[in-house]
Amino acid sequence: MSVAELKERHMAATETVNSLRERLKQKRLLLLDTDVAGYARAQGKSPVTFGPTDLVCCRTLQGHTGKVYSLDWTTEKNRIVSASQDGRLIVWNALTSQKTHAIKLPCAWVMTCAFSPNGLSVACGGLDSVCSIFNLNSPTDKDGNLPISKMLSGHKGYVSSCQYVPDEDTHLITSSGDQTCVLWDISTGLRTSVFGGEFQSGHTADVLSYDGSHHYVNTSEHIKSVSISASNSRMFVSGSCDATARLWDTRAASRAVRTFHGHEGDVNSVRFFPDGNRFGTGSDDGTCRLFDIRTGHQLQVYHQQHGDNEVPHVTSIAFSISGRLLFASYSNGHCYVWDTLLAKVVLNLGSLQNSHDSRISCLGLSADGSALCTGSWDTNLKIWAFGGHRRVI
Amino acid sequence: MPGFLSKLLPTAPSSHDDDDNYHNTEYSFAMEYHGPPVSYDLPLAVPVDIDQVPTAAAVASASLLDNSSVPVIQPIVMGKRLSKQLVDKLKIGSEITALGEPAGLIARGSSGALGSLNGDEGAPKLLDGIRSSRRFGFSKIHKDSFELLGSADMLQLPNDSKDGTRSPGRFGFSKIHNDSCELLGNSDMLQLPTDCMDGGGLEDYLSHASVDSSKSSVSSEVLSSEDSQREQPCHVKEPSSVTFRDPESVEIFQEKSSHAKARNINGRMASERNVKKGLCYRCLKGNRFTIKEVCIVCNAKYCSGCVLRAMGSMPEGRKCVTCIGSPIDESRRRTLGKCSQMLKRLLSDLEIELIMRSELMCEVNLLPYELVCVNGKFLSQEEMDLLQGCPKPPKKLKPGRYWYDKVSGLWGKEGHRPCQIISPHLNVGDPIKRNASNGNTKVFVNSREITKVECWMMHLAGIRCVGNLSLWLSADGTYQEEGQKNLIDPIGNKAQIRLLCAIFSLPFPPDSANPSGGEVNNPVNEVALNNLDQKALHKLLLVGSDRSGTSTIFKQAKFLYNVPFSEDERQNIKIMIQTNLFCYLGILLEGREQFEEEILTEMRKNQSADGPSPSGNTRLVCDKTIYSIGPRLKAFSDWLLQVMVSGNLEVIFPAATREYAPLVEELWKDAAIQATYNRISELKMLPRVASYFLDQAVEVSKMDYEPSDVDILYAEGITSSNGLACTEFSVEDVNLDPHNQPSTLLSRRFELIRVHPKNLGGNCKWLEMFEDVGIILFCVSLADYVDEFSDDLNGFSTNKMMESKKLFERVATHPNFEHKDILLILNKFDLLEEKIDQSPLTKCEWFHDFSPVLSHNYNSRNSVNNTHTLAQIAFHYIAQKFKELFYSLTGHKLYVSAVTGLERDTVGEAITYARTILKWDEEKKPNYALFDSSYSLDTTTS
Repeated sequence: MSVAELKERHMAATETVNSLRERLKQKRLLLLDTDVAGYARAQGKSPVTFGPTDLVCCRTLQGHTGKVYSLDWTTEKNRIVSASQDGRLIVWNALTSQKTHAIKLPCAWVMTCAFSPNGLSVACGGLDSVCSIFNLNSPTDKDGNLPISKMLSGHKGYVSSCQYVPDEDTHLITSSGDQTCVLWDISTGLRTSVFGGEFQSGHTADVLSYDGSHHYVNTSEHIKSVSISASNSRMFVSGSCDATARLWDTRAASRAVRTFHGHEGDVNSVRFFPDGNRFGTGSDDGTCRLFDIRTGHQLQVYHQQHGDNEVPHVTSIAFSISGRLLFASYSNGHCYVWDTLLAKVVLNLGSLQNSHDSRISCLGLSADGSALCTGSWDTNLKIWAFGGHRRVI
Repeated sequence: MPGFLSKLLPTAPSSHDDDDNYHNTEYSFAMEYHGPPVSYDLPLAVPVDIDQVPTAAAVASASLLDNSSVPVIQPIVMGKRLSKQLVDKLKIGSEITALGEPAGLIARGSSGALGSLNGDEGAPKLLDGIRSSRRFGFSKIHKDSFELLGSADMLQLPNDSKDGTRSPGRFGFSKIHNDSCELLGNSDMLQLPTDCMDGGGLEDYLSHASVDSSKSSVSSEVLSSEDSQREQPCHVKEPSSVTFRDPESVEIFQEKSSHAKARNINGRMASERNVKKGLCYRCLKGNRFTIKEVCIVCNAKYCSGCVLRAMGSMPEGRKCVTCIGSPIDESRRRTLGKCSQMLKRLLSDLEIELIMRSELMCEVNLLPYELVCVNGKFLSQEEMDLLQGCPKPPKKLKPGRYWYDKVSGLWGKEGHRPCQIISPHLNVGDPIKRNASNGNTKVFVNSREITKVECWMMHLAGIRCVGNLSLWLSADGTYQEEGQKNLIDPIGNKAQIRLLCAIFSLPFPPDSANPSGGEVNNPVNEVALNNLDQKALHKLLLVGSDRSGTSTIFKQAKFLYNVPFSEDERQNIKIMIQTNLFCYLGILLEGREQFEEEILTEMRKNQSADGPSPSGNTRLVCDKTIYSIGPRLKAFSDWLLQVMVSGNLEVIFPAATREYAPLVEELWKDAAIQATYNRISELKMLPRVASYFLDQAVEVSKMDYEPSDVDILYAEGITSSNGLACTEFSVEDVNLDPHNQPSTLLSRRFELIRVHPKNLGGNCKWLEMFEDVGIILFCVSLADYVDEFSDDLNGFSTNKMMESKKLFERVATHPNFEHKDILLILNKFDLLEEKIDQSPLTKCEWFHDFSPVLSHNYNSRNSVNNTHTLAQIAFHYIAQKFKELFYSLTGHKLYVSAVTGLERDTVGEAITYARTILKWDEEKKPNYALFDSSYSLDTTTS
């Protein structure tokens, strides 16, 4: 078979795939007769109301000297790890707002960090393409720096996101700019399985080539974030620069369980809904979306109209403990609190008093849902708590 | 607009302020009746005077807004009977704040959600009623004031309810006159009473204000504004006084607004809060005997319940949240790094350690260099770093005047005998003066007239000190009489002298065996050393599209500046070379199969054209082409290709490298492979270095193979993960600026950061992480114009030069790099010379109008008669293309440099060029690059 012939067949196959996808899209649109907000309204639900004092900043964590890029809470204690462009990981005690560890990183360009479920170690990754694990209890060297206890190397691109598998301190999932997600065994430092990539049906550049609008020029297919289901730790979703989110089963690395289309820009952030059957995404197209993993349908778009043409990107999202609230931070400095049922913005954290001076880059809810931590480019982290007698939702 | 409105409004709305016309006119709402007389009463519309709208006053100007701090609950003294007191100090950014909230909110928030340490204590302090009424009352007014004044600030609200007749929930609001606001904005008269240390002052003054209830109880005295005095009383029913003042904030304001002033030297001295001695500054409880932690800036004292609230996360050590960023009180310098037992009880050891560390290390807390004077010259930042970073820095350095004997290392206060011996030969301060230690002995040591004590000492040490004697004392303690050769015994060896030195508290030269003991863990020393490193660190970002040779340039830079490759790096490169060996072979084998097939089909065609013949025979002949290999090698080749296709190459290699090395060598030496290699131009994926490594396949595959420098240079890439690589090097900048002051450091440090474009993410998103680089080195391979870059999936192929152009556009237009210089490195000039003869430059669509004018006796390689070669013309043409592109994108000048990656000199030239550009930049804006932002205040004024 000659190369030309192969090319021809490849083209034809691509064409078929694209037309099938288009049909699938049409079919989905037909089936999509309502969304969450429409149904909730029909049921007479009223939106959550938020006074400006119902969510207040009660702690400011100062200490970083560069933009904060990522944060993560421990599962049981009130501790936070944050990663900043100043090349440091800082472990905070959220109660006293003091630092317990300041870890100087060998590579300053860090993008993500995570706390292990037992709270004994932290992981981080960044432009050095390596995911480094620090054991918080290991003795410091003579300069007062914590040594790296494990280096997970193998990615061919930057490590954009990492998360420990719930209740497993030895397993960690990373996402990377090399189109893959990897499940690591920390004790051996080896890859347990690789999701996506060149040879499997991972995130690929062709995904959007059928998109007639050509709204989004695909240049890469870097995976930006992962989220592991809390209820079923074998399932995780990844959000990618090809404007899709994919659901994976860690037992079947060869192909994604499902691919979720809908966004028109890089998917910057994915988070599982607390019940584990849905997940939310935040994207460069300025919208957040809610997808159902069982049906594969998009349930709701959270989009705020902006007057100007500049569409702010969604930088990070987080759900409240019940899922009723969706916190989403935007590149223009806003941080909306969405009522997920009625798709209404009930509060803008960015406009509250003593909010951050700059864009909020990362969000995280404490394990019990009582506090929200925001990390910002103004080098500070802030902890917000529900004020007064308000029930935690 | 104002003029027009005032015409509309015949009765001029009273007291317009010129500077606030906009607001005032907006508030006038009716016109006076001017028609014929009527019998009934006219309803009167009284124009609202904005000045009479009760507002919460805003102090100072917007310059404070960038002082990011959270609202802090500041305590004030309240009435004795009602000991519930509250001062809210609010910092209003762009938000409108409801006064009175933060205290409640913080208390509630923390007690509710996070179970704060202090939540239980904090909340009950505020009666619910008080809290709500306050919030209600204030928020509205406050909004008004915000709208009106347009600038808002810290408000401090001491509510004085001394006589108990007033309920604490009631508040009066006095307004602030626009004039007084103006006054605030630009006057330095805002000297606040500093004598209200123990509360008496302010209370007296407050009660004075409240007694005189016909007057506005705005702290008009504080504002020292006549206008505000003249204002009518506001509509406060109950006599009450509200004072809006915040000594600290005003002081910050002064500091910031008056750039002409030097840095506040003594820090903010005693805090001017009216707190009685022994009380906690926040909760106003406790007595002299409760342990309290003291703010190292303003000396505010906090009890264990309040310290964490007041000091927050202590990024600069024990400072109130509002004091963060301010220099410390010099009298507290010796307490740096030593915290009270109370704090140690409250926090864990780890937390304490970090707080104390940051207290000692953070830049604001360091000794201000401009206050230290050595030999009559005030130090610069560099000198200070040098002084503190030396192996034996002066102990307990305080602001003041010192003398320093550079030859011997003697150090002392000006006018006093030496007190210490520090590291000699530091380039700090002016030459020593004769009368530095105010001696009168006529004996000179290193041209300093020594003191009597020293003179006795020398007597005892057996040195004759009579008359005008001049001695040279060196760092190891040897004396030498001026003009004479003979060395005098080192006095340091005599135990007796040592004892006497101790008695007279004179410094004594250290034992030579123990030259610098005990100084290792001095954090200040560490900071200074760090500063020396960091101050002059310039970052160069090296970026370029795939295969543009960035890694070669990076490696060349390491060789050039003698930065050794670490063991890890060498190991990495070794593995890379070994893996690549098989990749190269794989490409060759693939090529071989393809060529073989082509030839075979060709031959078959010829055969069938030749007509029927005994097929068996011919097949036998045909199957042997120059590209055919033996069956054993064929098996290996098939297996290798199989492995490559499955993508498991890295899994098997380089672990199995050694086993297959002989096979690899055999294959490589096989005529078929060599024949394939000869058609290298058709093997797009095969780099030129392939033969270099394949030639020494066995050598490379050995377990104990150590890549040589050339091997490292030739290896593709730096790390196997293609991650980011960075290296630091320092350069002596002697040649660049001969007029530079000789005393300052000449060596500048650079960090070269090489990023793979793939790592920058879609749309170069991660470029934002490199906003602090000084210059971008953008690397383009000149040979790219011929290479087609195939976008594999859709069969599109783009010219690689166009690909580079696209990346260049993205980097150049990235918002973070708006004012950054870019040096375009046009790499692989040698390849261009080679290729330009074979394929014209116009092959790339961007260069379609390339039409070189060549001299008659054109010779592409050597230009005999001073004309440029075709390659040089092409280089200039491409450079011009990029320059035009850059100018159209940014309006700035693009710097260009031609480089051949494998020639070290050309890389060196390019990096030197980059350094020169950085130097130019510094000269253009000296405050930017040389000084840290926190010191720019001083440099602008000096």
